[in-house]
Amino acid sequence: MSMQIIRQSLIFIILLFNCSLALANDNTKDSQVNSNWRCKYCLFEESAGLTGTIDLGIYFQSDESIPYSKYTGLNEKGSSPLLNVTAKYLDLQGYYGDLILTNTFLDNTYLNINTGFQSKYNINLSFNQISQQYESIATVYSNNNNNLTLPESWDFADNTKDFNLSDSNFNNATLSTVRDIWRIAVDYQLEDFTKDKAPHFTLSYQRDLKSGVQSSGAVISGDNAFAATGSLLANQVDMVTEQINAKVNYQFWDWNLSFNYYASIFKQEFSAISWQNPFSRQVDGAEYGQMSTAPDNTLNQLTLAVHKSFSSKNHLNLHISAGDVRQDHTLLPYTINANSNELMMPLTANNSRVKTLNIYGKWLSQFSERWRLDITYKLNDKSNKTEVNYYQNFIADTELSPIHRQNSPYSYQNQSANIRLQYRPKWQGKIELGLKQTQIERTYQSRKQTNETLGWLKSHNNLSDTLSSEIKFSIANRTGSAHIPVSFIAPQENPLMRKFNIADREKILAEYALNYMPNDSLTVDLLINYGREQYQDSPIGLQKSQFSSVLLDLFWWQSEELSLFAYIDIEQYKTSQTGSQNFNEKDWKNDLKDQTSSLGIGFEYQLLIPEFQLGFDMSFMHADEVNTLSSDQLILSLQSLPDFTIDIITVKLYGKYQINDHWSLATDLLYHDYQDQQLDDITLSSTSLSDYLLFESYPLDADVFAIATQISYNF
Amino acid sequence: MTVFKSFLSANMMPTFLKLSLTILLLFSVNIILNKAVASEVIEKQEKNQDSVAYSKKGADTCLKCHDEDNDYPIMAIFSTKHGHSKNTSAPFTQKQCESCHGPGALHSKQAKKDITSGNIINFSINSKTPVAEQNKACLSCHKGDERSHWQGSDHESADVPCGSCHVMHVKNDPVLSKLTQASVCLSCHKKQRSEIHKRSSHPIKSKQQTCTDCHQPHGSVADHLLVKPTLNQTCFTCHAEKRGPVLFQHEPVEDNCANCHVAHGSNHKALLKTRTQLICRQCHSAAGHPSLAPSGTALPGNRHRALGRFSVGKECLNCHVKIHGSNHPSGSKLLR
Repeated sequence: MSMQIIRQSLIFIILLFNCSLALANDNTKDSQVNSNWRCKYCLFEESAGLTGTIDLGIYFQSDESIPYSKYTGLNEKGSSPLLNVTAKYLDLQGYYGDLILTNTFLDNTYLNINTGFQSKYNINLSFNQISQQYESIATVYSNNNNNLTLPESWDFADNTKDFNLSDSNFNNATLSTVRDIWRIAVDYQLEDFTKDKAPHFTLSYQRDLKSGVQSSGAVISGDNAFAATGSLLANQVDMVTEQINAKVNYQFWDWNLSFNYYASIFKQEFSAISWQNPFSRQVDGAEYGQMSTAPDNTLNQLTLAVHKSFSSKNHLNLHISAGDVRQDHTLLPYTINANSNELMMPLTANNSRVKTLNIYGKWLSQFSERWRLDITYKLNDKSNKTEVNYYQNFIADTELSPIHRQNSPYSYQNQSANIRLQYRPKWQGKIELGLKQTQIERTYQSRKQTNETLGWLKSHNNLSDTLSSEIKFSIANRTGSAHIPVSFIAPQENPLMRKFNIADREKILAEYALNYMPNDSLTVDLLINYGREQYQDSPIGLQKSQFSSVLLDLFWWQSEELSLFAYIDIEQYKTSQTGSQNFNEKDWKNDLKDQTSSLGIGFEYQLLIPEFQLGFDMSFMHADEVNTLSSDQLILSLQSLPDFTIDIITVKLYGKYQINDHWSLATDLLYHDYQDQQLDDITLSSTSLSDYLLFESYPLDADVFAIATQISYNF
Repeated sequence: MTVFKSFLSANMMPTFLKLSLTILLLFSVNIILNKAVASEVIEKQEKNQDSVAYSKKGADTCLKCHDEDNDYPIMAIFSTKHGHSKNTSAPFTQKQCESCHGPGALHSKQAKKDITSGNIINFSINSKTPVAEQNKACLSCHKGDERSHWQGSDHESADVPCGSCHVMHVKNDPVLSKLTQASVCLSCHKKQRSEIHKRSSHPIKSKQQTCTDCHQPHGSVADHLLVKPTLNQTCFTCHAEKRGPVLFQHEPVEDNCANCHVAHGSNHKALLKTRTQLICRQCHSAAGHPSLAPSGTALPGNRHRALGRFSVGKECLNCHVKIHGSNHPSGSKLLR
């Protein structure tokens, strides 16, 4: 105890000493003069008023393509009108307004309006539509508010091949979601923000509505719990997240004080998904199954942030954030099987509650022109206050022994201390040295505590005026308390299993960057990364993981008329993991190699006449993954997972012709091609598995051609 | 206090003892260096008296050369807040160009002698002006709030000048617009530029999402400049349905989303680190549910096709649907 006090006192005294020393030496404040210059060449009046651009045009897409629409939200074949507006208003008094409206009639509309009085207040209104598509499928189910039912003429059977499926049984659907995000925010500055004692208020409200159709697995009892059957479902999603943020920021002298209240309220329209069991092989009464959805929940969080500059060289940051997350959603019944005994639950709603505490403290001292030190402490504490109860043990409608299963409200405490020392030698370089110690304590886990020590060294060297390099090397070692399988988890976990996030691990990371800039026109970058994680004392689980990459990037800016870029990035990811099918020592090992090559090239060219500009860019990505499965024992006629490959090409060609000061004509041409081979030559359909009803799914392979032509008016 | 005590527990003692001694050593060096630097600063100030004089006519001096025909057009600043004539916070109501670029008398004198640069603060990554000096000019007004974390942040430590991301002499600063921000960030973050082209990524390419939705480039309390104190809290701002707290939790989810997902791009669906079944088997090897080898023999068309449910569709998630946690009273195995 006494040693602890001595250690803490020592650190505290040293910090105080440094603080006072730095205060004494801070004599570098400016002594600027005020002036009343007039400016006859300044364009104050000429720049005031309303300016902007209106684009009116047409967008055409040659085909539907899920991979293309996954990123753009655009999956409708054919043409759509196009309207983009940008406008800016500024008056001589200080009132201003900005408007951006893009993709008005498409599925990814964006609107942003800013208005206010300079340095006094700002009102922001925005709308952002995020539309994403995942897969086109056909399903036998009809969906009515997440009650999924089979056709009336359905042939119940034990095996999918006996379902007598015909095209008329299927409903086509696209798995896709749309988020409509509305946000309004008000900023108010009570005083001139450049002066001391300047309070600043911010209030924002955001409503994020997500709707659409997503896929979900569903499992129900077959003859017994261990012969469960299942279906893939296309279920509706309708959820809303509201966020409120209120903040007061106050600057006085060298202090900055900020107080923040943040609330996030999540609500879901559907509290359950129920589905009809397509199999005749079922326990009595298991004609329908039901599963929960994410419960409504609320987060309230208060944050106090303090920053004190003791001088331009010494800074103290303190940040305390306390949150409370809770949900009290009514629990669904154990089962909706009419033949099952009606069982009482310990609670009708589990009244879950989690308290979070985040503390961050940093002391930074530029204690000389060449040396700098910062010390950081972080605490991330999550304490789950949910009541522990025993619930009947049902697995997919079958009551199992042991008859009770307890919930295990998980809590953890993550603390870290980080010290970083920076030295700037005379040769214009920089050397940094860091040490970080992390300790995590967890509840209900096979390992109660882990400790990790990380050390790193970084050196930045300006080799000449045109050449610089940076090298970083770090090594981390994680150990912890003994691995003891959690006693109440049944069936028991293999005691030889080491979960990768808590296992003993040595991690090495090396990074090298070279920047060559022979003149203002040319920049060449080379980045090399290597990382390796070696898991020790892991008889079963992840054994090692290795990452390496090389990136070469070139940018050449010849003039306003011509610029070009090119890059190539090759990365490789390897892992090796073991498992046990016989609940004993390892009996299989899987080695995975995932390689990705990305290539990008592009240019901008002003063609012949200044009024005509042409641009081109292209990206190509190729990925392949190879799995090699091996075993020392004869456990199955082992066959590795099939390789998969992905190729994505995006080509964009764009041109703009400036007709006169006000009018211009622009055209964008885009080509996107996606090809993958994920499961080699195996074709999947709804009946590919005997006891699991899949979707009829369609290949994602598709190419699409899009063109957007617009005439623009500048005002 | 309990937290602090436990942190300084017995097994942390050697590390902290070393830490304390290191600090003591460094701060002793500090005393000597501080004195040396203080005298060096005074000496420099005396030498540079000539370079702290402002121009006689303010912006008019500058605009004589830096007019609309100049190689680097600057007149668009008058369409921005910085170039406003009535905004009392704006540089143009103070020392005009020299509010930011510093005293320019010497610069304008030398310009007359055809010395076209130097003795003025220039803002860019390629500028001869030291980064700290560039940033000091900006931070003298833009202080407080998020900028409170600037000192010691990843960007500050990497000597990134404000002018590397922000452009002042244009009507609209590209980094402040959702439509153009990513291209500014990705011009330096080249690995991320490749990653967003992978099969699965956040919608950054399509400009529906942008870097500052997750990152606070001016510094933050979290690793990787995240906007919230932890990675999970950052993810839950958009994915609030994963926040719970649910009745039966999946602990790695509560710990860190990055246990299973990557943020910028993956060749696997849903930004997963690797195939679903491989991830699951890195932690699960239960008695009643054998840790089957991730074998191709389990696929349809092969002898053991009944086991294919682990390899196709949603793989392990065909049955363990509630992988982020279940709020169903019979959801202990995340099936409901």
